[in-house]
Amino acid sequence: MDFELARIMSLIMPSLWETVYMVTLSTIFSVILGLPMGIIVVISEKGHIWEHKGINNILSYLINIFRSIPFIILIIILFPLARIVVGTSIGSTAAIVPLSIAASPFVARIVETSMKEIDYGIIEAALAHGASTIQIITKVMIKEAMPSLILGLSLTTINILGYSAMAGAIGGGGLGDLAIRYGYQRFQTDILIATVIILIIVVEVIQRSGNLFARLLDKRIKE
Amino acid sequence: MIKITDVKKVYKSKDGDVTALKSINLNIEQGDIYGIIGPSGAGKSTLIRIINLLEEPSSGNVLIDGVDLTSLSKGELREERKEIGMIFQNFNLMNNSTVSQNIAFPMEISHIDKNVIKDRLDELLDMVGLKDKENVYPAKLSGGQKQRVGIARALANKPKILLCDEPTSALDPVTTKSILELLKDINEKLNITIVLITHQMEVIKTICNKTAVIENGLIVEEGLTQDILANPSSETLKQFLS
Repeated sequence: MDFELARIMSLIMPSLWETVYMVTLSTIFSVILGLPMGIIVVISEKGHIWEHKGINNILSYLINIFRSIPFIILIIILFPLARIVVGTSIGSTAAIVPLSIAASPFVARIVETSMKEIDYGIIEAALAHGASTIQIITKVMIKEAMPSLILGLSLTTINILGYSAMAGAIGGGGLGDLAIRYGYQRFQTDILIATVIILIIVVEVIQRSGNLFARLLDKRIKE
Repeated sequence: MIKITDVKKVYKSKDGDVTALKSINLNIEQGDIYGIIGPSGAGKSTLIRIINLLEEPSSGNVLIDGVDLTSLSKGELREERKEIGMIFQNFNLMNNSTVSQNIAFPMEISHIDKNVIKDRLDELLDMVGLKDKENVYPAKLSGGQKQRVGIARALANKPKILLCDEPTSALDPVTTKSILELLKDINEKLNITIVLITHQMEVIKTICNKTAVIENGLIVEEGLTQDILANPSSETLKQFLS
């Protein structure tokens, strides 16, 4: 029994690290790409602080187009790009490229929704006191939307975790790859179950810490 | 001090244009508490936002101490706005910032030295009577306290003008009275010019030395408050007084 567990763990641990590596970096890059997109979509809207109809339309379309392509197809399309960016199209590092790009429109939409929750009066007050566009974004909008952004971040991370399993299926490594190779193709049910349990725990940890941080940062509700 | 000449504001929309302000002329002098009263939809809210150009007039000029705001670049306008504080009906405080952080905001964006901000914060908290609330978040304040934070924030950069957008409309009568007293006090002590819009006659009677009545985008009556109250000529004002 102990031997069994050791065997399962020796298979799972490296895959778990691959997944953590893939998901963490992909989340960071998708935020770097998606956050500015989401902010620009909001501020370029009519009546907002940087009204710009053309830019607003183009970005909205781009986000929608990317969001309507099935992820597995997007990975296949974007793997050649991985070869250009990181020099290889196989393995966890290569998977980060399509994962980040595929998740960034999702991040943009989440950022957009969070920022639209802010009462425009608060932004107007900042304008009235002489704040610039950049100051309003960094000191008012991001700060006010922070609890909602944190919840969006945990949602994004969980989504990327799901995507990473698909990336695993076509050579990205990680837990998804393990579950498919051992659990599905070699009928090793114990590996499959262990993978699922680990994934459930990981999702639970991400969601709970997201909720906790969001609650700690949200000062809107009276205690 | 504030001179508005022939200001018009037209909102363009697909369903046709809406004229909010037809032709507004106003002359507000240093030290005035200038009240603008009118029913909802009369253009009050647009008019007060014209003064700091939160709303850009479709035509006409807005002069503050001789400087035409409509001729300024974006950067120059931002600098000019730092000389004009503003408070709001719904306070518009940042929910995820403490009382102190809210009040310090106009100073921070002006890159004022941290130690200077600290000293100024003490002064401001003292002025509005919120010394014990500096680290509290707005959700835990009453309406009156929130408006006091708004006032302190508006005064942070030592402006020469304070714009008040329905400052007491969301407050109960007792709190309204205390906020009006505070505004009067500020006007006297700091010699700051106050422009306020309201639909409450009581506000006009209590603190405004001059009053204008606005109706359908036009000023229908204006003058010293005591004079126009003694002898109202417009239907709007007569209705407000009845």
